[in-house]
Amino acid sequence: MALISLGVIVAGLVLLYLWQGAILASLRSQRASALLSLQDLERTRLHLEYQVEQAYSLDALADKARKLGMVPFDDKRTRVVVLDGDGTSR
Amino acid sequence: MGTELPVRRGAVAFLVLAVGGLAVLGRLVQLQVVEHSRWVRAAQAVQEDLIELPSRRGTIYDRNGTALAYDVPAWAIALDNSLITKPELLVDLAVRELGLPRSEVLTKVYREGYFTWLDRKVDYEAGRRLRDRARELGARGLLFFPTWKRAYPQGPLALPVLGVVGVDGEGLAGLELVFDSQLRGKPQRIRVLRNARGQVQDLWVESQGVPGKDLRLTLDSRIQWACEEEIEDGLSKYAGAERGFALMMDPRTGEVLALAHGPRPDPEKPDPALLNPWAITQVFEPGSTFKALTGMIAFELGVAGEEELFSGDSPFVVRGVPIKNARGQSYGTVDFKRAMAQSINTVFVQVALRVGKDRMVEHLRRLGFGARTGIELPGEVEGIVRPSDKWTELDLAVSSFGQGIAVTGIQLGTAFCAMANGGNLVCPRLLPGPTEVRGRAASPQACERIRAVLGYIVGLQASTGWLAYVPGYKVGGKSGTAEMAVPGRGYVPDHVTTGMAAFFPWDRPEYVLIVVYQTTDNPEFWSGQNAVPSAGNIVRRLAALGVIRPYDKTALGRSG
Repeated sequence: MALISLGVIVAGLVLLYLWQGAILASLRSQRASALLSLQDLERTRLHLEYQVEQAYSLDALADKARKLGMVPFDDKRTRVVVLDGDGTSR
Repeated sequence: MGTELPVRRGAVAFLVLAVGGLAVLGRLVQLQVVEHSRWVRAAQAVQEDLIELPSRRGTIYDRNGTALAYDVPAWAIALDNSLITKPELLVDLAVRELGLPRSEVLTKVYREGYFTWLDRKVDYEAGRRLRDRARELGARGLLFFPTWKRAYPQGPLALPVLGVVGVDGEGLAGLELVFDSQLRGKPQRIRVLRNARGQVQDLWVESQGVPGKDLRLTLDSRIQWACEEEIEDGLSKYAGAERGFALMMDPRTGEVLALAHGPRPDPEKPDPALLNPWAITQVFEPGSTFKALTGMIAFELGVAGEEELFSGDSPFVVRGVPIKNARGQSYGTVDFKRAMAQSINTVFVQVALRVGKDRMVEHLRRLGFGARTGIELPGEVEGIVRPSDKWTELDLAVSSFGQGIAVTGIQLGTAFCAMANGGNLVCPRLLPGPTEVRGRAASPQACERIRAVLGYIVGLQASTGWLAYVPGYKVGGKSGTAEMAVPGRGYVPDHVTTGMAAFFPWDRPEYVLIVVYQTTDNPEFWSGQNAVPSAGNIVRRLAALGVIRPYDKTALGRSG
């Protein structure tokens, strides 16, 4: 009887060990997949950041301004304002 | 008898089981203990992958923290030709998603072998699309390796200065080459454990890797952009203009704020010729911009004065050789300031003769000519200033208006920085750091006097530098046009370098600006028509961008 009880306890412990091992393997797998997703997300973030910076580069802004009909700064559209010491123009 | 038999049977069964158990145990010991490492290696070979993720190369920033070049995610895609299941589909996908030529993809897909690179720098989105489509359609045989690709968020801005990196992430030109070891990091190594279905079961970082170090430059992306736009504009509108550069420096520190070369290279497929920062790597004869330096040397030595009168008649004969003014024009008796304003060669020949060969060469060397400036770019050349004992009187005469010697753009900029900062020859720099003074080029008084002359002439409508005048910004400077000497042909009339060396505000300069254009097919290529207005336009552009504020009560405004 004692032998049977010992066998049951050992079998129980083995099953517990195997079950925990399985859980651990599953958690490791989830963690690995999460880490890979995180890496993927980080790479996507960097890619998007690049696209945003490109869109706001001086070249891109100048292009957009031209498309909106804003002409480049030139002498014809420039006038000279003479400022007095107090900042008023004359 | 009745109880003996089960006991015997039990003993036999126990014995059989024990022997069996011992055999299993023995085998386990053999596998797990004796041959442990062998089977671990075998299991690893089947279940584990070692992924080497290249480290992210350092970012290059301008002085305000704007990123000019950094690594963005990309894919290196290869083919495992032994695994390809649907080759035709794979070819179609690769052609559509990667934009590769069909013939190239066909050759690679139908090649006999286990591993063929398809493309090593695939855009992140394109690579993902290709991977997803291949999975959906069940096309096997593609291998995806995460990697990085150098990207330029500001487009081709300052590309000849920044340089480029090769397919393995190594610096090939410009600052990328000079600071390669600093920018480059160490790759991260990740071990991945896969299950029987190939899914990732576990992963761990074997080696953390070290990302590359960032680089912060003295360049200001706004000034750089304004200069590049103006040079591009100039190349499109000035007849014959083939290439040009604009250099802007802070004369007090030697910091290079902009070094723009045109035509601009395409960052996706850069033309090596356009990546050459020729303001550093090539020489040219500076022409009449040099008169400003001749004047400064004369003031330093006390051999000429601002109001002193000279004969402006053309030609002026030196050792039997007639030296002419531009277009052979004579001006009668003129003072030094007018000679500077109208760029009268014959007057500066007289000034140079008063200076003398030895003193001229000595002062040119003090101004940094004939020696590398030490700027952090590869391929810098020394320029050409021959020793004074090899100079003839004619060499001395023509050097006064920038012929017979050869300088680089950065040398000219550094010499004008010395004039602008009161005489200190500072080291030009692309990386911030303490100001390094290489020596004393002239006294503060001589610098101040020549600056006043150059400030006066730009504000004079009759001067060659008038088109650089911008109300409120107190631009001073000197223009110059020089024919280029071609080996075997001498000076060729349609090979011309034009330049404008400017600074502002002229009384206490904060900026030095050098603009140079070159042509090889226009004999009527004059600085007053291209380099001078370009210098003025750059100042206007910077004013419009709000980078600079007016120094005078008179300011620019915008109408309409």
